[in-house]
Amino acid sequence: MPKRIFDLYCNEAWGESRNREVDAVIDWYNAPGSQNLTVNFWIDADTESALTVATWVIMRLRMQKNRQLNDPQFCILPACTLSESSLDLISGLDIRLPQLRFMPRARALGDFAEPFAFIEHAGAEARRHMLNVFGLFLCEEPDQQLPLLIEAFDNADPESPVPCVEVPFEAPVADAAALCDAISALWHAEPGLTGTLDAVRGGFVKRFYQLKELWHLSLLEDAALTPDQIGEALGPAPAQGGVQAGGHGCGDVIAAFDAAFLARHASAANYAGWRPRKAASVLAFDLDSIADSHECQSPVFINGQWLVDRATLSHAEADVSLHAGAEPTAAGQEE
Amino acid sequence: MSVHHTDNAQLRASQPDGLDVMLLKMPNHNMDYPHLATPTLTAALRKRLFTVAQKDVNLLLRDHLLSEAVLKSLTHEYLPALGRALIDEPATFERIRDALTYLRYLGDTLGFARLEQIKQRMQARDYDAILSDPEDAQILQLVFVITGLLHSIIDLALRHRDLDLPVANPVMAFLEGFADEVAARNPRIVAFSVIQIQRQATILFAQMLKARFSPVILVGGPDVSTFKEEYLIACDAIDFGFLKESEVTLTEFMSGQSPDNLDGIIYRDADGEIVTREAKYNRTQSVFRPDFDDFDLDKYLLPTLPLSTSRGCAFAKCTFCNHYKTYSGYYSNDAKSTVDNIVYLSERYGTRFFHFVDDMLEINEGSAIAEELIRRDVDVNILTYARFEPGFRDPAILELWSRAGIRVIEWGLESASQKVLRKMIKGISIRQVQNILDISTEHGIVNKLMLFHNYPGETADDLRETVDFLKINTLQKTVRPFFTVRGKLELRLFTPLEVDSRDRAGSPFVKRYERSSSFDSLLGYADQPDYPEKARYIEVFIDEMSKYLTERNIYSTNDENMSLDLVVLDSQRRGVQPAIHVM
Repeated sequence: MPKRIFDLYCNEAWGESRNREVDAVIDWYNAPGSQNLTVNFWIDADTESALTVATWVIMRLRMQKNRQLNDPQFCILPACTLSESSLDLISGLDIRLPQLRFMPRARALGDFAEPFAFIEHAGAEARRHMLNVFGLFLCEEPDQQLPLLIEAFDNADPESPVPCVEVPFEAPVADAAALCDAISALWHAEPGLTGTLDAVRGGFVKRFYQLKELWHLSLLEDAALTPDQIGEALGPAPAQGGVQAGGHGCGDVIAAFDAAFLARHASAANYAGWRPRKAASVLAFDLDSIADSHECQSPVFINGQWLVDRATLSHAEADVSLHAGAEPTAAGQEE
Repeated sequence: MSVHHTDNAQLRASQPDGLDVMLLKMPNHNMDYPHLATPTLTAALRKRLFTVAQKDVNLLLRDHLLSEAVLKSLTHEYLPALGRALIDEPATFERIRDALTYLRYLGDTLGFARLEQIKQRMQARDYDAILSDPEDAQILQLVFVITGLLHSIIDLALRHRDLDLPVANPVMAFLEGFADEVAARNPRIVAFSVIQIQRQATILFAQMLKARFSPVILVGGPDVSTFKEEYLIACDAIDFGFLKESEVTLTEFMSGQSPDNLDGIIYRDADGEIVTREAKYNRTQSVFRPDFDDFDLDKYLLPTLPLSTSRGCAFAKCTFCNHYKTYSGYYSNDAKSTVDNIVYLSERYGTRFFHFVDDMLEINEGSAIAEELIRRDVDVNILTYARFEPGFRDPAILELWSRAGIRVIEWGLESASQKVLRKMIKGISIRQVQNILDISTEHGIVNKLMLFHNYPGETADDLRETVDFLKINTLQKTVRPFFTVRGKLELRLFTPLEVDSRDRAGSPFVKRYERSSSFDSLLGYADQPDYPEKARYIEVFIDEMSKYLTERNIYSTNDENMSLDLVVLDSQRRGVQPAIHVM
């Protein structure tokens, strides 16, 4: 398995077993074939010991990894306001590529305004310390919180960075179909969520992304997406789902969520609406280089009939989606 | 199996009748025309009567992929399966989906058979007919777009080669087959010339070969010259590395010299320790006439051949650059020999198209070559790089260059802000630049400007100056539409800028980020707060230029089709009316 996410709860007591866990992760990363390691540092309280744990683990990984490997992706996930000195310390750790991610997280329970303000404030403070900030909303009460988030996205400054949003698989879900509707609306409100998905472990928001892309893949193959194929590609219920470990007993909800996607949302028009709209021609859609360099590369415009810029590609997708025989078996309701 | 240096002499004697060396270039590179590295080494080795075979594996792979059957299989089998397997990694998945969506679109609207047909006509040099037909000319552009797309597909296939997919990996299947072919020829030595984008495939292929037979495996080229022992650390299958220009060291090595007595070589000693002996290159033995004899020249998409008239950079002061450091210094071939080489290559390989791949064609050297070409009445079309040296303000110089067949010049400008040029130590004045562009245009030369943005100290206003300069000159047709300005400064190891920014107190960057892999040369830096403003300005400009190109049927040019301009201009000169235009 080339990809791994390692969660470290910095406020928990440290012992020999944790040392062994870290060493096992380093061994895994150094083994041939490992490609991608993310280390999440969960900080619930701004204590010296929590920061010491983070520092020690980061330094240990840097020193003991194979020298030709890049550093893992380190993510600091504070749920509390960090002091100036703590931010200074974290900024001092953020001196190598890939840049450390700072993800203030809010576990909003009912009230939305307060966690939103926390993320805004923590993000602004961290930016002053030159940190790469992604806000993270964990919606544990999605029925109440998702409509508020959608409203916030609708009113947001289009230039402001898109925060990560995730609904953990363990969140209480009364109606999986209603949740699917709400997440579809969330994707319509902010297609830029795509750019945040690599920063989160997964939950219903990422699941929705995977469903819509699997559906689109099946269209490209002139086939219909079936629950079996979803199960094969994504697994019926993740053994370790959500942003934190867990996920027990959520398999039925996920299955109902998948079924609701197929029945209510899978359509070409919706798919186009869930894709980022901004055509960033500077570097966004590059056909011309996979090197570690874009030096000397001019963008490609193919004129006339076969355009390749991102905006035109969405037309191409519509064409493909409307290709004869390409409609899904459970044709979607368009929103 | 690793080979220690003591084995070298024994191996030399072990296969007296076999192939001494096979020189290979691996993916992931363009397929418009050949590179210069292995043909130069081939020429040096054949002079010493070694038996040499050389193959551009990248070309052969791309030619294979650019066929109707394989494009269909990529679109309908491999990429969908790969996408499903990587659905949990959105950034990677989106690369696959974009490639797949576009291929599917082309397959549906155009058909892969048509693409392959045009590719074959390009390889047959049926350019006049293709260019004069509007639809064929558009498909010609698409062939280059697909070769660009193949970079991504090949990279994905190599990177995810261990995935257990229900369909075969077309890139790995090709490489496995080619490794069998190499093994069947059983060369004593297999040598690779490597630039960064070929590293992954080179290391992989070295391992594939060692699993089949026991050649001595060597690597050389710019990436090896930069990363040296990292290659031997990364890969047990690689036995030796060669630094900087290798034609002398390699022939001495092949003659049985112990690495202990050679310079510019990396090897494992008898204890398995890696030893690096820095290069002390003998320039007098440099080879400037490449030997392309067993290359599959008819599979390249353009008829152009590369040629060096010099090595290194005559200026070598620009603060952002380290390219010239892959050579042992600046030195040039004499003009008469360069023209001898052009005439020889032209006659032997039947082409009139050349790309001078020097870091820059120095003004006096270029003029001497031009005079010699004119004196000998050589009919050629040349693309070259040049620096805006003040001497070009003399109109006679560019008039001479133009008469000699220098049709396209890629000028290294980098920025049109005098303030930024000064910081870069470019040694040029923007007023002179405009003057030189005007003169060059007057003499029928097509100018291209190499630019980038975000050099430290460049403000949004400075960037506007650059973009506006490019825009005005593009609209006035004093430069060909070419938009490298979208490229952001890349902070590279060992450039003067990188070295100067190591000291935090004197660094022009607010913050810099070190590389975390010893096998990486790219560093990071924090942008200034006005960066989004710069990006927006460039984006608006590029969108505007996209419309401009569309309205005028001007084709895009980039690394995939760099010398296509020469072919189109030549057709025009011979009276063909191309359906697509240079500017």
